[in-house]
Amino acid sequence: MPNRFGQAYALTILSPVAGGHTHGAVHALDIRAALNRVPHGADSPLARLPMLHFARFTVIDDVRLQGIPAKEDHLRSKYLVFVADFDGDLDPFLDSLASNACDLVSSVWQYCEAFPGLTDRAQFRSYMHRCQVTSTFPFGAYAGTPLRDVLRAVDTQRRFIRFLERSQGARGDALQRDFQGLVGELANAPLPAPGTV
Amino acid sequence: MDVAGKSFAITNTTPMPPWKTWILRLIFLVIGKLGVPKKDQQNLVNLSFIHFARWVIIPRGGFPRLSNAQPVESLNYDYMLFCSNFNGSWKQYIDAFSEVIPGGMNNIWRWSVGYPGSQPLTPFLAYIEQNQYDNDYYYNATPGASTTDILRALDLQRKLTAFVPASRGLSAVEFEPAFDRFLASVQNDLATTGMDTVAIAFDFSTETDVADADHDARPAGRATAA
Repeated sequence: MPNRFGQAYALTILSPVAGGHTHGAVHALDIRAALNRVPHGADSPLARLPMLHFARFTVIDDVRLQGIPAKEDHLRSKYLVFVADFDGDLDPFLDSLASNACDLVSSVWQYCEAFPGLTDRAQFRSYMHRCQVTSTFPFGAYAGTPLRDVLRAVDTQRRFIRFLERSQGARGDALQRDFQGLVGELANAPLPAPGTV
Repeated sequence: MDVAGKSFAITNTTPMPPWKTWILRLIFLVIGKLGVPKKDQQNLVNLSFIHFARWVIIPRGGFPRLSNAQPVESLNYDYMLFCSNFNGSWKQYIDAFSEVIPGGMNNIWRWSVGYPGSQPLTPFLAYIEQNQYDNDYYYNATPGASTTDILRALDLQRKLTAFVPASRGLSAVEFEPAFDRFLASVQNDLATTGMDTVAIAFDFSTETDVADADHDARPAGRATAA
């Protein structure tokens, strides 16, 4: 199953951009303008997807020319490329995308050919399946680890380093007491939100 | 928008004669079944700068066509889409690939039209740049952590999770040397994570200058993430 690497899924979507234009601007420009308005980092609507490690949107206007002696190729449609690396299976991710980032999805995909909207989730999933291209060879340095565990580990690392700074020079009873304090702190630490670490 | 925290996104397509894509599919199949050749694998592990990457072969007739209103594509070549999320600058990334796993790169890209080989570096850089696309939006759930930071954090988490129950019940006299041994075992896991100003200040035209200036401006003794 080439889209999978470990427990992670490498989703590649190529959505053809609708032909025509709005007020003289081709829809590829509308998509870029919509994406330009989307907040970044922890404020990104994609940060509401608890399984999503990385994602990108790229509008491909045409393939690149290679020069002589290569044959000249041109795309007849522009394509919105959506690439995502996430934990688990495709359909739960698509449902989460539709639920948690509905404004982003609507504002971008509305300019794509045959986009059915988000009212009917089954239709949305079917549309995304039709736009999916199989990822031939995915790779992930920690693809076996869910995002939840990555966020937890980075947070633990930060708290552990702060503990070391606080406890420098502590020996015996004091050291053990401080360490037990750290263990309690880690047990009660909230999971950092995606985009914050 | 190719940068999100410490991570950089590269998106690239290269054309391939359709009959050659079957060779590449076979190579990917073999790598998938047998793993990356040991030397390249070790070099990739040592580099440790790629979070996630993928190669996607799009057959010339494989671009999605969703309605009769959409024109039928008529391409001469299949296309290989390459997407990577990595740490460092674009030049560092391509340079490292060229230097460390030139054979691996050649095995993947030699089937693409116009590929000049991974060495010497200058035509290789030009080829990648020529076939690259700017990303319009990029999201990273862990912007303050590099690949190495995350791998080290996961290692610390594993070892700490094992040490906590093992140290429970030790007297203070027994705990201290046990903790010292534990600390020695995780000393490589203690990178300071957080937003790196090299990535934030990244600029193609002044890449080296910005990085150097930032490096010089860092307070002495600060633990920097890999």
